[in-house]
Amino acid sequence: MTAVFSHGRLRLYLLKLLAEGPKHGYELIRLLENRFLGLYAPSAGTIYPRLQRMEAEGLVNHTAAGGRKVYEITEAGRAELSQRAGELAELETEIHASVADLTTLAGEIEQQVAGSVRDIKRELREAALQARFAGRPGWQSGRPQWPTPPSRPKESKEQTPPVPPEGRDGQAAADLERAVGQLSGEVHRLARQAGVSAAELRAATAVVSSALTELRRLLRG
Amino acid sequence: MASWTITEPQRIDIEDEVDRLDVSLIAGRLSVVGTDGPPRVEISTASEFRLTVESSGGVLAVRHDVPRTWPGLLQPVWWWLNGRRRFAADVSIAVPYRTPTFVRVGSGSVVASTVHADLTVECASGRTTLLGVDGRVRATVVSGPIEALGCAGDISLETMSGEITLADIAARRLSAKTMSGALTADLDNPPHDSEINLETISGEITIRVREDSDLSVQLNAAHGRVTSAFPDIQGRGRWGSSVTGTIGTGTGKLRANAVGGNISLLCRPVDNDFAADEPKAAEQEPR
Repeated sequence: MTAVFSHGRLRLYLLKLLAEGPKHGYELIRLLENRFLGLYAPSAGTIYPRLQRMEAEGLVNHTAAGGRKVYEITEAGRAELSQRAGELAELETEIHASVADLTTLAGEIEQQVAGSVRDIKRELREAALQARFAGRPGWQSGRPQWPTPPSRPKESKEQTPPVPPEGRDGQAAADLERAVGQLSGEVHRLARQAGVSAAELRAATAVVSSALTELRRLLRG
Repeated sequence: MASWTITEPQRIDIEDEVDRLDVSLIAGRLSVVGTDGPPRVEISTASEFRLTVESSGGVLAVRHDVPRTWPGLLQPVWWWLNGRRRFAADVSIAVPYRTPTFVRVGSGSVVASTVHADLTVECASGRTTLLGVDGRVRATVVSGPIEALGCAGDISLETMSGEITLADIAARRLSAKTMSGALTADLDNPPHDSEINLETISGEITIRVREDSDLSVQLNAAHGRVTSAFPDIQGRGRWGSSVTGTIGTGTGKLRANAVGGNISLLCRPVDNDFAADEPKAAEQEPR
C-alpha cells in the first residue's frame, strides 16, 4: 500500500473527496487518514495551502457555514477530475494493495517520500526566489528582469493582491481581489491547455508582468 | 529465546513479544515499519555471509556476523574486496508501533516508518528515509541524504555530506546539521514552544514556518544573504547578514546558521478554522 503520495496526487485525491460532497477541512484530514490506514495523516498545514491554491485556480470554492469554511468542488474542478480519471484509478489500486509484502512497501515508501520531498523542495525554492525579489522595490527598474517561469505564469500574479490599508472601501478591495483570483484561475487553465506553444506562453508572461508593473505604479502611488 | 540463521530469502514470524529492536547490518537495504500486527522479519535477498535473527528477552536482534578476515594490514584489503558485495542483504522488519528501535547500517539505505518510540539510526553511507515517525528520533549519517516526511516529536538529524530535506514536520524540538548540502525544512511546528536549530557549513537553508508561529528568530549567514517573508524580520546589507527578530510572541526559538549559503525564511499560511476544528487544539486552550 502506498503510504503517501506526491502533492500532485494529494491534490487529485482532495478533488475526489470533494466530488463526493462538500466538506470542511478537518473532515478532509480525517478521511485522508482513514484511507491510508493511519500510515499517513496530513496536517492542516499541508492541506490548507493546497485548498487555497486550488481555490485560486478556480477548482474549488468555499462557503462559510456556522463559522466553518465548507469547501465545494466547482465545474472546473469536476472537469479536471474527469480528465485525470485514469490516474485516479491507478492511485486507488495502489492504496488498496495490501500491506502484506513488506519489501515492496519499503520500496514504495522510499519512492513516495522522495517524490513528495522533491515537490516540496521545488515549491520552497520558488517561494524563496519570489520572497527574495519581491522584497526589493527598486530591483525591478534597475536590473534586468528575472524571467518568470513560462509554464507557470500565475506565479507572478500571486504577489498582486494588494492588501488595502484598513479604512479604505472594503467592497472595492474585495472586488479587486476576486478579479485577481479569477484572472489567476483563468490564466492557469489557459496555460494548461494542450497546443499552447512556448512562444505564446512567453508572450503571455510578458503581458502579465507588464500588467503587474502597471498595477504597482497605480497602487503604490 | 529463538534464533535463526539466514542463508536464503525467508520470512519469519516472531511469536515472542518484542519490546526492543536492534539491527546491525554491514551492507544492504533495511526497512522498519511500525504496524499493529505481529512482529515479523522478511529477508528478500540474503547475503553470502551469515545473517542472524534472534529474539530473546523481548529484544529482537538482526545482525551480520562479523567474519574472520585476513590479518593485520591486509584486513582493509579484505573488506575492500568483500565488504559491500558479499554482505548486501535486503531486510524488512515489522514491529509494533511503540517499539524502541536501534538501527546501524554500514552501507545501504534505511527506511523507517510509523515507529512511535525512540528511534536511532546510524548509517555510514546511504540514503535515510523517515516517514511518520514520532518520538525521540536520532539519525547520524556520514555520507548520504536524509529525507523525512510527516514526522513529530523530538528530532535530531546529522549528516556530513548530504542534503537534509524535511516536509510536514510537527516536531517540538528539531535539530538538523549538515556539513555540505542544502537544508530544506517545511515545518508545521506547534506554534508556541517549538525549538528549531538548523546548521549547515556550505549549503543553503530554506525554512518555512507557520504564519501564526511564536518564535524568536536568529538567522546567521556568514557569506550569504538572508531573506524573509515575514515583514518584521528583514536582512540588511547584501552579504554576511545576521538577522534577529520575533514572530508572534516569540516564545519558541528558531536558529539557523549557514557559513557559505543563503538563508530563506518563508511563511506558511494557516487557516484558523482548521485549527479550531482540531480537538487537540481545543484541549490546549485553557492553558
